[in-house]
Amino acid sequence: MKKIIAGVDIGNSSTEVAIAQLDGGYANFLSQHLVKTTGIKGTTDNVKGICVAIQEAAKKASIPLADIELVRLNDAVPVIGDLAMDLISETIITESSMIGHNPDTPGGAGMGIGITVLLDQLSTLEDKEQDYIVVIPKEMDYEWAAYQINKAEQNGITITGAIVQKDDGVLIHNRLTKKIPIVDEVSLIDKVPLGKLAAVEVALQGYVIRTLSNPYGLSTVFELDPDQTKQIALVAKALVGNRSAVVIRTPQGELVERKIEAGRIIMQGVNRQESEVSINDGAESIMATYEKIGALQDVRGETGTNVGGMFNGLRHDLAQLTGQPAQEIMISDFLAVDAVIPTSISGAIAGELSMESGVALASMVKTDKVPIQKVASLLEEQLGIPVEIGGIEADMAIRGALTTPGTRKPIVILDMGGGSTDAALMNEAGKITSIHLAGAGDMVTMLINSELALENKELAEKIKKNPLGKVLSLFHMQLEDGTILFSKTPFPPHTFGKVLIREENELTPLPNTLSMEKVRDIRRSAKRRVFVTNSLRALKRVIPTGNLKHLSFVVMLGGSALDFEIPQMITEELGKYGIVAGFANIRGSEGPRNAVATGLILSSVGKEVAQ
Amino acid sequence: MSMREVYILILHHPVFDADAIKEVCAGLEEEGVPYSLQEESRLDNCVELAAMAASSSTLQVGIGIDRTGNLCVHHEKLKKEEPYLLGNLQNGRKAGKNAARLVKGLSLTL
Repeated sequence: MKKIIAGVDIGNSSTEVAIAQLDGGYANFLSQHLVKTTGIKGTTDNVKGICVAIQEAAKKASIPLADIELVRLNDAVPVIGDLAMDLISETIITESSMIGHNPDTPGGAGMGIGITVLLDQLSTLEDKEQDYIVVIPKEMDYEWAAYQINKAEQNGITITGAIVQKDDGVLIHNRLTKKIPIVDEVSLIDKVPLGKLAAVEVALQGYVIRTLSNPYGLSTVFELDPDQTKQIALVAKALVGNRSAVVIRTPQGELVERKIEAGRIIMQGVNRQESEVSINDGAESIMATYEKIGALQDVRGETGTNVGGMFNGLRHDLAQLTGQPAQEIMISDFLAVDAVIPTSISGAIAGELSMESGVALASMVKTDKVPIQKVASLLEEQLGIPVEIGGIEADMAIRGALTTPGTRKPIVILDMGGGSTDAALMNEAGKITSIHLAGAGDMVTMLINSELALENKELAEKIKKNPLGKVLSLFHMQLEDGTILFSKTPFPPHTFGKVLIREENELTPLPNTLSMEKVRDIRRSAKRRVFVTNSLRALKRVIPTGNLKHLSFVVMLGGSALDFEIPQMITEELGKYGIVAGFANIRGSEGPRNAVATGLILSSVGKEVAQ
Repeated sequence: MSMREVYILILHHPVFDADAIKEVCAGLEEEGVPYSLQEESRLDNCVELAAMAASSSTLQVGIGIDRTGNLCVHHEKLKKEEPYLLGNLQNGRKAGKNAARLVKGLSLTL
């Protein structure tokens, strides 16, 4: 008797379907399809996506929908995760203003110190002992500005530098009789305080400023005492790596520094044991403390601190998602990762950001059993096909993973999705142990978004998924590995000279401030921090001995196993322990996709695939 | 400073004098790329002017400005009928800057 059935896997981010014809004890796979999961995993919102996926798969298999006799649904894992990120500490500077930016074409080079004065005030100056920095708003034409400066020089006024609003630096510089450094393209020039002591520094092309990015350079320029130097050190730090900068002293007598207590994480083990760790110690030490505790009962942050706020926020989000009261939410796992968080500095005139250290947290809670039965009933009603709930997700995933050529029991699967990293071990006897850990693809996106200061999650997601290129000429693009790609058609103007995300059919330009190397480094480091850390953590938990050397086969599954570099990172890392690790090739053809859907079908026949 | 070995050629209709094209030149000067101004009255289409300028420009990039003040930035390696950038004298500074950046391989302001 031949019977056609469908396996449906609802994941956090995608819903996958496989359709197979059962013939005796064998399954003959006809087609598969993948759609984005509609709604939160395990809710009735999912039905919409499932219906589309089944219809599409049926179309691919060239069978009418009605030929499907049974739909098998996975019993979704009742865990749900959330992300948070915050600074370890925050400092606010109030006694200096600064501009640190990289106009493409500043004028001149060198250093100038003087009192800020507007261009049209130059003719009224009388103090010939004093040095001046001239401020030139955009209403002033470059020829007029150069004329005024030259005239003032002739009258014995010493001008040592200029701050210009328009992109006129070189034009003014070319027309000066006495050359001075000029910082241009300062859009918010009206924020520059006048009558204050300022320093302007411009480096030669290909160099970066040296004096204003050095705390002792600043203390020399402004004659500061050690306490004041300590305060201004943050300004120097924010200016590191710039080609030009301006620092203006605006002493107000009192210095306001606000430090938020970073706080401690309080972990509670299942055996009632409690451990505390200060978040200042960094992610590594937090995770080491967690490892000592073993299985987690719950985790809290010290009240009234940054970390307290973070955990409260997570608890609140998770309560909303699961519909359970916040006090009943128990965080069963978390992952802490060091992160760099762009922070705006008070006194920054051109919106400069200081990259401060922080921590990113992914957390996960066990929820009441997901109402999968409701999903099944609604699906049955809408399709008119009987729906049954299959076995445990990890079980199904392993069955699917074992269709990868070259694998056998004992085997470990590492399912790297968007919301969680799951691992399961099947020993020789077929017994399965599984674990669900917080932190996966979405956390990588969050880190990329923050560390590149994008404030655009979609762009961060694209950066995560695709390699980069840089358009060098109308017909050439440099790729990440340094090779050059030639194009027969010219690159369009909006991509010219830009660093781009190379999607299959589209080139997305990135902001000019980001270099290819920087984006690549942050992308790879974010992936490593989340996935390499988590795969080691997951494997240690599922192996009875806790020793990675006792493993032989690790198969990677899930959306993040499709990534163009994550699997290689893990293969490399696990290779150190002598483990054969690679991404799955389900049924020898599907790659790391469709494992659970395949497993759902196989579990109903109990036999391997018939080719 | 306009006549040198390497330069971007600007072909413009005689109705405009050097002063009228000053902003285009300022854009090129700010970027540090030399240029040369030439009057051309036989053509009156900024795309054709720019293509002609590009083909005789040592930097392969040319600018054409027609009687109405329309402006085009062209590259020698592109098809004549497919100009790279179009604009007009009102935003001449941007056009000059972009032409220079096209030579330097830097991103453009659109």
